[in-house]
Amino acid sequence: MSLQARLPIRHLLKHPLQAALCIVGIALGIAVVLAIDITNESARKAFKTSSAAVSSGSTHSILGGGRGIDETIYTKLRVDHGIRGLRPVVSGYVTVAGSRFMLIGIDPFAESGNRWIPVENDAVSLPLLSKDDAVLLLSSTARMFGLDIPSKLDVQISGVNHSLNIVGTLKPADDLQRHGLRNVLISDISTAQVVLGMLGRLSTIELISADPRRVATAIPESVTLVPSESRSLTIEQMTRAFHLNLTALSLLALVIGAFLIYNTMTLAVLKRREQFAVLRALGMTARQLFGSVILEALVLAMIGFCVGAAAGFWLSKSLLQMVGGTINDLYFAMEVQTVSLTYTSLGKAAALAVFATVAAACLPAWEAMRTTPAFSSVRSNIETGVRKNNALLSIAGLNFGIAAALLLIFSEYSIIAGFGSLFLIIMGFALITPVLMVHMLSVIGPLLNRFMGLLGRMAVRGVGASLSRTQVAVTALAIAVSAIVGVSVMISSFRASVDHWLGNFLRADVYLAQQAVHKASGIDPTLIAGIAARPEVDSLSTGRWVTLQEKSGPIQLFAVDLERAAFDSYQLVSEQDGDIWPAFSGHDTVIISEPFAYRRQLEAGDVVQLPTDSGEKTFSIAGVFYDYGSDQGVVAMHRSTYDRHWKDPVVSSFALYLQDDVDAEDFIDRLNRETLTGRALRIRSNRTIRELSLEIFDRTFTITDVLRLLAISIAVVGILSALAAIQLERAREFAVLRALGLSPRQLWILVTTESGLMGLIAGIIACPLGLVMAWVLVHIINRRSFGWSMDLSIHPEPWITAIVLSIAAAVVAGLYPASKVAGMLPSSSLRYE
Amino acid sequence: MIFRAVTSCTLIVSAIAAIASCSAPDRPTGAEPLSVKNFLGSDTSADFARAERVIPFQFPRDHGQHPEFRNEWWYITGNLSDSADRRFGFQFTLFRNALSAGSPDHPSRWATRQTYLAHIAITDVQNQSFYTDERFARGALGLAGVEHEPFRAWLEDWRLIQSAPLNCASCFAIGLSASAGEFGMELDLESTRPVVLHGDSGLSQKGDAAGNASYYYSFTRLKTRGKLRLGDEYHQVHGTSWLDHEWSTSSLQEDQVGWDWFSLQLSDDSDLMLFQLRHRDDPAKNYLYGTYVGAQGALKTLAPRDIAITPTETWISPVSGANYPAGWKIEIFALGISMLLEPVLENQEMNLSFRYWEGAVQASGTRNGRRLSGHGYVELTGY
Repeated sequence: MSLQARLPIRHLLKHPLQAALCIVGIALGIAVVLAIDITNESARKAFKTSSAAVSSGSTHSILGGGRGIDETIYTKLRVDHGIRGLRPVVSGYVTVAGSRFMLIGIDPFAESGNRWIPVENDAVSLPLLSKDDAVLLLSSTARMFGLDIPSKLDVQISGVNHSLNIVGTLKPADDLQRHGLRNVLISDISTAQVVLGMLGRLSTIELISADPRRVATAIPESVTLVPSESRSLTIEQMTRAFHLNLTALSLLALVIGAFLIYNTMTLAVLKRREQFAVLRALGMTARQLFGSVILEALVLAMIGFCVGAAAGFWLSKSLLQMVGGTINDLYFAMEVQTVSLTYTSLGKAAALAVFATVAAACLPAWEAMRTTPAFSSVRSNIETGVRKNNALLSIAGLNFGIAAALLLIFSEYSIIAGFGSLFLIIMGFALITPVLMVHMLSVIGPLLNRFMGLLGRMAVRGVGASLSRTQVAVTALAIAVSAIVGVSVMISSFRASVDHWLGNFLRADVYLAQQAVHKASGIDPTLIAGIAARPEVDSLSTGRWVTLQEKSGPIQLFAVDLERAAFDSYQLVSEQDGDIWPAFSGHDTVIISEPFAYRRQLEAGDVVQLPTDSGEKTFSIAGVFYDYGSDQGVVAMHRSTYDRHWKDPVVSSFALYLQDDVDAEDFIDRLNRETLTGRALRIRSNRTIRELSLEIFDRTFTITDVLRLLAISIAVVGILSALAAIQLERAREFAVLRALGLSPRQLWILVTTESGLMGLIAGIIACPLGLVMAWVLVHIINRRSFGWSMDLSIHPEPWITAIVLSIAAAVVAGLYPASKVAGMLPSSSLRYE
Repeated sequence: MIFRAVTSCTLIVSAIAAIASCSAPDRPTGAEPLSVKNFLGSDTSADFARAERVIPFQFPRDHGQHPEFRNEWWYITGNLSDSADRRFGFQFTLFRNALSAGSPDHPSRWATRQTYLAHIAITDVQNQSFYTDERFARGALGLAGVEHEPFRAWLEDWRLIQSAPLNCASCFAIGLSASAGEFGMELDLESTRPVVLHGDSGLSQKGDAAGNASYYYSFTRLKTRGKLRLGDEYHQVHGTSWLDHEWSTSSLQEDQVGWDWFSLQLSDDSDLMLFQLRHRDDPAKNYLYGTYVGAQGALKTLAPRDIAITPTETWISPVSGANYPAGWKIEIFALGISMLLEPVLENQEMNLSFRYWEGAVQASGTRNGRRLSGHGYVELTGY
C-alpha cells in the first residue's frame, strides 16, 4: 500500500470518533435519500403492477364517465361491428380480512386467444361461469390468508358483506404477473357487477388486438378511446409532484449531510497541517496530498453509504406505509406492500454519496494541497484567511440569491426549477452565514459580557477565534433548523388555508354521500325525497360526482343543484364582471377550481371543452374558486346544465340544511336508526367532515415530520463532531486556562456557553432563511406542484421553536466535549505539548 | 348425432380450459373420451330434460333453442362450385352447451348457464387448402344466441338469419354470414325438400337405455348460392348444403371411443345419413344407424344389419399424429347401394381447441348395377 493510501486510513483508525461521526452523517443522509427513492419507486411499481393486472397487453381503453360505460356498447362492437380482440372489465376494490383486494370481473370467452387469465386447475374446472359468485386467486395469496380451495370467501365493500366462492387458483406466467395478481380476485363479469354495484355497466373495455381506428368510429360519443400508455401516464402524473416533493426533502437531508462531511474533512485537514508540511518537506507532491485527502473522504463515503443503505432500506418500509396511505387518501386506491430495492436506486444513492463527499472534501483537500513546508503551522494565518475569504463568500452568496430569484422569475411552471432555486437560496445563505456570524458575535459579545462577565466574553471570543471550524457547524445547524421552520410555516399556512376554506365551503349541516364504489347506481331518489320531507330539514342541495374521460386525462366534474345562497360557499379567486349566478344557473357556464385553472392555464372568461353524451361541447368559465379538495382540479356546473348534456339522473351526494334548532349529530343518529340502515351511504355532519379533512391533511404531512426529525439528527451529529474536534483541539488552551485558575466547572460553563452561542447564532440565522424557504414552499413549490394558492400565515411558535431547538441541539451536542474538557488534567495536556 | 352434442359440450369446456391455461394451450384435452365422461357425470345431467318420448315438432319454434337440454347444435355443411367448376366445401356450426340446468337467479345481464361455440371451415379443392376458425361466447347480453321468430342464430357477427318465414315443415330459407381473418362466407340457403325427422319421428335413439337419445332433424338438400372469400379473392359459388339440428342430454357409453358420421347427396336425387359409434376394441359391437331419403322424399330408416362401412385408406395427420380413415366402402344392402367414398382433401382436420376431422367427400359406385355418384360430408372423432 502506498503512503498516499496508508495515510488516510491510519488517520481514520487513530481518530475513530471523528470517523464515526462523519460516517453517521453520510449514512443518515444516504439513508433518507435512499429510503425516499425506494418508497417512490415502490409506490410507482405497485401502481404499475396493479394497473397491469387490469390492462395487461392492452393498447387502448374505452372509458366512460364516473358511471363506467354502458355494457351494450360491448355487444354492439362484437355483434354489429364484428370487432374482436376486446376485453370487457368490471373492476373495483373490496376488503378481504382487512386487506384491500382488487376484484376484476372478466369474460372468460373474451380472453380467447389472449391467454391472459392463468388458471392453475386442470381442464374441467370451468368455474367462473358455471358456479355462482365464483372467484379465482393466487395460491400463495390463499395460503397467506389461510384459505382453502374450494372455500367460501367473505368480502366487504362499503360495509356490505358478500359471500364469494373460491373455486380455483391463478397461475401467473411470470414474476410481474405474480406481483400484479397478489391482491387480485378474478371473477366473472356478472359477479363483479353485483358485488361492485355496477349492474349494466363496465369499468372499461380494453383493446387487446382490435384496430383502434375501427373502434373509434364504432363507439358512441359518450365514451372515449384512450391509449393505455397515456392513461397510466396521466395517473402517474397525478402523483409526480408528490413524489418530487419527497425527493427534494430527501436531498435536503443529503445537503446537510454534505456539510457534515465538509466540516469533518476541514477539521481533519486543519489538524494535520503540520503533518502535511512535514510530508511536503519529505517530497510528497501537492497533488498526492490532494488525492490522499480525497481518498480519505471516499473511504468514509463508502462506509457511510453501506451503513446508510442498510438503514435506508429499513426506513423505507415504514415510509412506504405512510406514502401508500397518503396516495390512498389523496389520489387513488392502491395497495403498496412490497419494498422494491433496485440497483438503480442503490446506484443513485452510491453516486450521490461519492459526489457529495468528494464535493464536500474538495475544498479541504485543496486547502491541504496549498500547504507549504514552512508556513503551515501558524494557526493565525488560517483564521485571518478565513476572515478575508468571508467577504468573497458573502458576495458569492448574494449572487446565489440573485440566481435563485432569476430562476423563479423565468421558470413559470417548473417544479424542478422551484426546488433548484430553493437549493440556491440555501447555498447562498450558507455562504453568507460566516459574515452574519461575525456581525452577530460583535452584537452578542457585549451582552454576554454584561451577563456572564469574563466567561461570556471568552466564549464569544472562542467561537470567533476559530471561525474556520465553527462556521460550518453553525451553517449546517442553521440549514437544518431553517428547513424545519420553513416546512412548519408552510404546513401551518396550508392548514390554516384549508381550515378557512372548509369553514366557508361546508355551509350545510349534514352531508350524505354514496360509498364511492356504488357510482353507477346512485342514491335512491325516494330516499332523498323522504329525508327532504322531514320536519328537521329546511332545504337541501344535491350533487353528482363524475369522472369524465378526456384525451388529456380524467376530469372531475361536480354537478350541483343548489340555491343562490349556497352558491356563495364557492369562494372565488377571480370571476367575470357582474353577477355570475344567472349564467351559472341558466347557461352552459361552469366554474373551475384553482388547481384546474392552474394546470390548464385557464382563467375566468376562457372556455373549456368537456366530453358530453353528445360529443365535445364548449362551456364558458365564469369564475375560478378555491378548492383544496383535489390537486387535480374540479369543474363545477349547475345540475340543470349537467342534465342538458348528460343523460344521467343519478345523485351521488346531497347536503341538508337543518332548521335552526336541530342538532346535527342528533339528527344523524335518528336518520341512521330510522332510514339508513343497510344502505351504502356515508352520513357526516359538517363538523365531522371538517375534522376528518384536517385529519387526512395531518396524515399527509406525517412523512415530513419524519424527514424533519432526520434532518435535525444529522445536524446534531454534525455539530457534535465539530464541537468535539474544536474543543479537543483546544486542549492546550484549556489546560493553560485551568493552570491559570479556571475551575473544571467554569471550564464546563465556558465550553457549554460556546456551544449554546453557536446554537443561538444558528437559530437566529435560521429564522430569515426559514421564512424565505416557507415563502418559496408556499408560493412556488405548492403552487407549481398542486396549483393551490394560500396565504403565508406567520405565528411566533416556529421562530421560538427554531431558536430553542438549535440552542438545545447545540448544547446537547456540546455536552460530551464539555465534560471531556472539564475532566481533563491540565498537566497531561501541557506535558503532551 | 348425439356424439356431436357430446362434442359440443366437451368442446366448450376444453376450449375454455385451453384459453385459460397459459401452460398447455395446444393440448386437445377435449378429444380424450375420458375427460368427456368425467365432465358428463350423471349427477349434473340429472336436472336436464331428456329425449325420452316422441314429441310433435313445431316449426318455426323448434328451429330455436331448447335450453332445458344440455346440448344443442345447428350444423351446416355443403359442397359448392364456381362457374368454372372450381370446387369448395364449407362448414358452419353453432354449438350450444348448458353448463348446468336452469337459469341463474342473477340480476346481471351477463349471468347465464348457456355457452356457445362456433366453428367455420372452407375446403379449397383446387389449391388443396383448408381454412378453419372458431369462436366462443356466452349466451347472454346478445353476444350469442338462437331465436326462432324470426329465426336468428348468431355468435358475435357470425350468423344465420331467416330470409323468408319458416312457418311450415318444408320451408327453410336462411342467409349465412361468417368471416374470419383469412376467409369468409356469405351464402343464401333454401330448402328444396321437406324436413327429415330421423329415427322415430325425430326421436333418434343412441343406445339401449331409455333417454339415451336425441331429437334430430335435417334439411338434406339446401340449394345454396353466394360467395366465398379466400384471402382477398371472392368466388361466386352455388351448390348443395345440408343442415342438421339436434338436441339432447345424453353422452357416449362407457365402451365407446368415438364416431363416424356421413351425409351424402346422391346423383339420383336421394340423400343418405349414416353414423356409427365405434366400440373400444370390437368393431362388431359398433352401433350403426341411418336414414335414407328417396328422390320423392320417402324416408327409410336403416338398421345396423342394413349397413356396412369399411375403411379402405388411412391418413396420418402431420399435426396431431392421429390416424384417420381416408376412404370407405359403403354398402346399403337393402337398397342395393355400393359406393366408394374419398375425401376431396385428406387434410380436413379441425385443429381447434378441440380436434376432429370434418371434411367434404365425393362418392362413386352403383345402385342395383346402375352408376351412382354424389358428394357429402364426413365427421370423424375419437381418433
